[in-house]
Amino acid sequence: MEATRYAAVWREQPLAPPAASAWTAELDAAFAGGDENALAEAYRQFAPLVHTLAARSLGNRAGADDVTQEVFIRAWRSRSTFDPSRARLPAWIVGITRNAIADARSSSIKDLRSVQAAQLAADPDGTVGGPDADLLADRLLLHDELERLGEPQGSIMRLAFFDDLTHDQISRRLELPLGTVKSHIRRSLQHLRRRLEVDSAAY
Amino acid sequence: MPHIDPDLLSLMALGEPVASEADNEHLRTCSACAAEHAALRRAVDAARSQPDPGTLTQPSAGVWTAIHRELALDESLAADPLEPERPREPAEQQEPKEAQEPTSLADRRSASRTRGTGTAPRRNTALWLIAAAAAVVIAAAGISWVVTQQSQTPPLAAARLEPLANFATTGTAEVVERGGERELTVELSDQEASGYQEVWLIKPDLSGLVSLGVMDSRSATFAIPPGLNLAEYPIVDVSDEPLDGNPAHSGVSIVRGSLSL
Repeated sequence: MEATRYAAVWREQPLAPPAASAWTAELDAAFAGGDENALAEAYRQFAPLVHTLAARSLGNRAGADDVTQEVFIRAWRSRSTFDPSRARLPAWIVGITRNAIADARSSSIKDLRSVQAAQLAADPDGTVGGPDADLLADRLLLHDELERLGEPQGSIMRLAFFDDLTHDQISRRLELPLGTVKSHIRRSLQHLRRRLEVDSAAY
Repeated sequence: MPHIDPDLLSLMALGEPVASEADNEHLRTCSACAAEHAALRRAVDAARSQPDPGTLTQPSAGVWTAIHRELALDESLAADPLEPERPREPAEQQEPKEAQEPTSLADRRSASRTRGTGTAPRRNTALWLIAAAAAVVIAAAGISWVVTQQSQTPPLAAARLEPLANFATTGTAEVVERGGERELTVELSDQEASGYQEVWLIKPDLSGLVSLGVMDSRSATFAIPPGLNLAEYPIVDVSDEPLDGNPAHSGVSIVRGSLSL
């Protein structure tokens, strides 16, 4: 079982440091360029996460199916506004998902007579999908952000995140002044935190 | 008391034991600092976590059909991209029908694996071969970076080979120099190919693949062509090749790993 489980997650989690997903810049370009194969690949990689986020928020499967359908249709139709230099496709899809979920919730609330409205119970305890769905969404939002930090910030943060080195160990390892390492850590963490917070506002 | 210094708060979010008693007390009582700490902590958790995709729910089979119809996508994409991970219909099964329908994604994946890999659709494999190779490269960049920081003399190149989806085989790959020639030795825990195993060295961006040869046992050694720069071809890949006479990579990989140079 352990080996099977590992095989199942390999594509997303190859080796340390773990990559957020197997989505690549080439796939970004293919999607932006209208390659329908890239849409199918996006669906394969991200539809379960989209579905889980929706199911948790709406509390029912039918609604989650509708949101999943809506998200990928919206993503494809608005691909001309997709700008890989601003956000990678996984993050963009998470943003569209949050918007589609909000739309689904407000339309269900308006229609109080619908059966779905009666079932409109959010799932704050995360029994659907568990806390892993939120973490996966956050990871997709941070997709490639470490690479985008530039150097030496990227190396500093990789050592802090994945090697669990303290700032003075990093300072010695990279032969950088302690103060420099500390301020890079602060600015890089602020940058990552902003990526997590602006996602729904940005789309 | 003044708020916690932003540099210090960042280190605290990373889990470094740098806070004084007074800092910790302040964090407990100051909602502004606590909120800031929580927001930074979320970024740290997202970067460090290894969440299990097996806990996710799956869209119903009709969802892709609806998307496909609505967007009038090409006929070749009619099949649900998630289909290889769903259980097959009983008619396609070689083995007796399972007593219970698999429920979680992990179960579904293991269920489809036990039914053999030979029937796995290959339609999207090229795309995800690219994707998986890129993921390895990101990881390899981190590892080789750490290695070069630790030592000026390059260690023996080696790679841990990990199974790809639908396979459970693991293994190792090692480069040794013998009589001025480089050799790659691959050892596998099992032989799972439905066709035959072929060993490749691959460029991170997939712009180049070098076949080293057929591997008909669980351990084999291959000569690395002189002049081939392993830094350019760091990915070791063992594929499952059908006997179809096509010399290209089938797109179905059993194990893969990246050489630490």
